[in-house]
Parts: sequence; C-alpha cells; structure tokens
Amino acid sequence: MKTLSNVWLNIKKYYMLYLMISVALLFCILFHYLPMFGLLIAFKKYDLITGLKGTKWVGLKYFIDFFKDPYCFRLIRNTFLLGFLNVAALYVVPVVFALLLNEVKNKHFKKIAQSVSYFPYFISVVVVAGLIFQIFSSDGIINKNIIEPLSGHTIRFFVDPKWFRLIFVLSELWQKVGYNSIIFLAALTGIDLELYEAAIIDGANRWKQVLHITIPGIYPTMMVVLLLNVGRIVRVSFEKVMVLYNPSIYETADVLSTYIYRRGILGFEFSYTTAVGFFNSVLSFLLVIIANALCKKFETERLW
Amino acid sequence: MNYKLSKSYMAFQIFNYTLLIITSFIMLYPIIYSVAISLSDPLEILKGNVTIIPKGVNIEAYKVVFASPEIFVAYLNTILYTVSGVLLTLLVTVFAAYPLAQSRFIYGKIFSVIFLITMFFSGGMIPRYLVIDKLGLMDSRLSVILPNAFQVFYILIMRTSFKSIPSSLSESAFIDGANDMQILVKIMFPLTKSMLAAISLFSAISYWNAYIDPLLFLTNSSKFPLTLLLNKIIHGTADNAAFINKYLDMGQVVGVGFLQSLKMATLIVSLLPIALVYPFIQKYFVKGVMLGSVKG
Repeated sequence: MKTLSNVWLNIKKYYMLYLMISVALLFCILFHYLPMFGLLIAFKKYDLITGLKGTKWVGLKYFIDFFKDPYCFRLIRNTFLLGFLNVAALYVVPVVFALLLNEVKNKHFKKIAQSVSYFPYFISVVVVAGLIFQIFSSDGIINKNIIEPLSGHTIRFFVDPKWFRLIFVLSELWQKVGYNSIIFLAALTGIDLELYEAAIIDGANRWKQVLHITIPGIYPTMMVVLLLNVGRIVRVSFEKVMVLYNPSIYETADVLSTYIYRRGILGFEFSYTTAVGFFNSVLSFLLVIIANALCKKFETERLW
Repeated sequence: MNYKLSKSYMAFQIFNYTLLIITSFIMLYPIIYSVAISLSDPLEILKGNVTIIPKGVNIEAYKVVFASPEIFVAYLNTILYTVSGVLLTLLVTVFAAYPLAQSRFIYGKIFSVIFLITMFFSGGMIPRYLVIDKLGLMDSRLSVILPNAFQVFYILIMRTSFKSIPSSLSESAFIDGANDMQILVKIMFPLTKSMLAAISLFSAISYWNAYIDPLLFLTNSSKFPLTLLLNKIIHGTADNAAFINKYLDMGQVVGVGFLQSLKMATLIVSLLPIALVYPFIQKYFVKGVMLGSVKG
C-alpha cells in the first residue's frame, strides 16, 4: 500500500540512493526539462526583457507565420532530403561493409581494415570540413588532378548548390561507415555457426549462405538500428551542415536547424524560431511513432 | 570443402580484398593529403602537384602555427573542457546508474521514465540557449562543460553494468556495516572498470570535438576550444587568429598557397593528439560499443 508515509519511509531508509540520483536529476531538469518548458515561448510574443510571464499569448501565430515563410518549403525539403539520404546511406553501406568484412578470412587484415575504418569517427566535424574544403577546393586534388585534366573546367563545389547533397553524404559516409558497422559486425558474430555447417552439408554456396542465414540473422539488429535512426532523419546534423554550408548554397544546404540558428541566435527572433524548432521536434517524434507502428503491423522487431 | 576452391569464390575474395584495401586507403587519404599540403611549397600547391607526398618540403606553416598564442590557448581550453567534462560525466552517470541498479530502490522506475523521455523529445536549440542565458552561464566555461554531463545512454549502459554484479557482494558489505557510498567506491568501481573506461572514452571524444555549444555560448576568444578556432580559420573568418589574418589579405599567389598550408597545418596540429592516442584506445572503444549496443 503506497501511502505517503510509506514513500517517506523508503526515502529515509535509502536516502543515500535518492541523494545520488538527485544529482543526475538536477542536470536533467536544468538542461532538458527547463528548455522543454521554454517551448511555451513559441506561443507567446516573447522578448528577453519582459520574460516569459509578462509576454502576450499569441497562440499559433508563429507556426502559421512559418508556413507562410517563403523559405518554408525549401527548408522542409532540404531537411527531409538530406536527412533521408544520410540515414539511408549510413544504413545500407555499413551493413554491406560489415558483410564484406565478415567474408575476410585473414584475421590480421580484418583487424587492420576495421581499425582504419573507425578512425575517421574520432575526428571532429570541423576537421572533416577542413579536409573536405581542401580536397574539393579549386586548388584541391579533385579539381586539379581529376576534373581539370579531363574537362578543362574547374567545378566550384561550394558555390554551385547542386553539389552539396553529394558532398554532405560522402563526408558523412567517410566519417561514420566504420563506426556504424561495428554493431552489425557484433550481430554477425552472434549467428550460430551450426546453421552454416548445415547449409554447407545441404550444398549451399557462400552466396546462398549469406542470403538465407547471414541476412536473416542480422535482420533484428537492422530493424532496431533503423528505428533508432528514423527520428534522426529530420534532425539533420546541425553541426555538419553548419560547418559545410555558406550563403551561396542555401538553396540545397539550408535546413530547419541552420535557419533556426540564423534567425534565432543571430537574429534574436526567439518566438518564431522556437516555433520552427518545435515543429522540427514534433516531425521527428511522429516519424519514430509511425515507423514503430509500421513495424508492429508487419510483426517485426520494434522499440516498444 | 570443394566449393571453396571454385573460380567464383576466388574471384570474389580477390574483389573483396581489393575493395577493402581501396576503402582503407580512402579512409586515410584525406589525412595524408592534408599533411602533404601542410609541408609543401605554396607554388607547388597552386600548380596542383601535391597529391600524396609533399613537394618542396618546408615547415614554414608549422613554424607560424607553433608560434601563435591563440593555438596554445585553444589547446589548453580544449584539454580543460575535456578533462573536467569527462570527470563530471562519470560522476553524474554513476550517481544515476547505481541507484537505478538497486532492486530496493523501488521508485527507480519513475526516474527512469523521466530520464528516458529526454531521449525522444527536447526543447530545441533556442529554448536551450535561453535557459543557459537565464542561468547566467552565457560566455562562461561551465556552459560548455555542464549541459553534456548528463547522457541517458551512458546511464543505461552503466546501470546494466552495475546490475551484472552479484548482489551477494554488496549484501555482505552491508552486513559488515558499509553504506552505499562505500560500496559504490570500494566494490562497484573496481568491478566495472571496462564500462567506466568505455564511457570515459565516448565522453572524452565528445568533449574534445565539441563545437556547437562553444559556438553558441562562448564569445570571449580566450575561452575558445580548438574546434572553434579551427572553424574560424577554415572559413576564413579568423578575426581572432592574428596569424591567419596576416595571410588572408595577401592577394599574392604565394599568400594564397601558403594560406592552404597554414590551414592544413593547424588542422593537423589539432588532430595530432587523437591520432597519437587512437591506436591505444581503439580496442577499448570497440569493446565499449559492443557492450553498449548488445546489452543496451
């Protein structure tokens, strides 16, 4: 029977535990729940001086303003496109990479290939951008050693909007293929070796083995990873875009989060950008729910 | 097994090895190229002669970089943020995970839910920015250290780790009169070293490479970490790095080429600690990811 005195007794008895967890709770509240509470700003005509309590309630005004914003469509499109390309590439390629690595019999080679592939993950986004800028610059190796000899032109990768998506996905792949493949490699080692032996006795060649044992074996892992990443489609890496984009390629590079940064942090339009951010969060949340519901329908793995 | 010697299997193996070698090369190449540029003569760079090895080797760029105080200050800042960040993260994580791993902590579920919700929903950039401002942390070093100390993922995997320790150990300690804190430090810590190491590693990488929080919250350039300084240099908006400014305005050919060397040299210098430490920490890292993903 959970009465108030029972609760208090438990707290008193194990006060040390409660004390410990309150430290974490404090951080959680301050840096996660307080901002959540701050979402109210999206519904008010907020300004720094008057603060939250004093400002006027305006309801959905800023949300409507956003949908009327001339950049609205472009932003949503870019966010979804970049996000989708990103998640898709970082889903398929690591799996293929893991499968290929799995076929390597030489343990040393496998280890070295793995180590090398993880390395880019440790590099900061800023360094990656620096490397990308140098490689794809007008004086960089791509232009000077491949494109100019072949066509005589110089491609200005960071001025022409149409290149951004490719560069973005390539840089994400370079950095994260290795790291993302770890979880699949771990799943691969979990597949029962007897299954392979039985298949060999039945006369299956390696390709058939992969198709009928390996892939179904890591299927649950693939599903869980997919579900965990679906929400990220819409939360396109703010860091990555921020560090790679510039005004001349806003057309394909500007996403919701970078727009929020410019108009909110730099432009001080707090209420408006909070509304946009809220919209972004809700989209992300919806995607996760939809993906989960779909999985439930098809009787496969799900998050809950 | 006969099928292993079949032509198609051999062909595949050759294809596979080749592909993986190419992939490994691609992984390393940008760094190799960057080193080459940083050590090359500006004219050679502009002519496009530098591909893998430096041409016209000189260390002028590095001389300039090492002589500049901004780099030194930024390095110190990064180290400060990383060390204090990791320590704080470990503290917060352990203090949350230990109670949650105890079955006598009956209201643990409530806390779990409170923590988990933050994984799926958040206030967003602007509310977070405003909270930091209202807390008086704007432009303070704490703004970069504090917010990221609380990570639900670390708490979850740490909890799993604590749970795997047999309760008989702590029970006998209780009988001997120990309290929770002593049990935590004397029994739990030594037994969960690998998980603690994994979390420290993830956290350290995260803090070392942190760029967004410093960008949003820091305005005083003497508090900038390496990433922020590097970002300004790469984008050519180095209003705070005098050593780059000198060359930004140089219209001459040599200036433009040397600027590239300079940028790459700065990049390599900020990359160096990680590159040096990587071979040693790599195995802990993989262990940590496996621990986290398989159990979590």
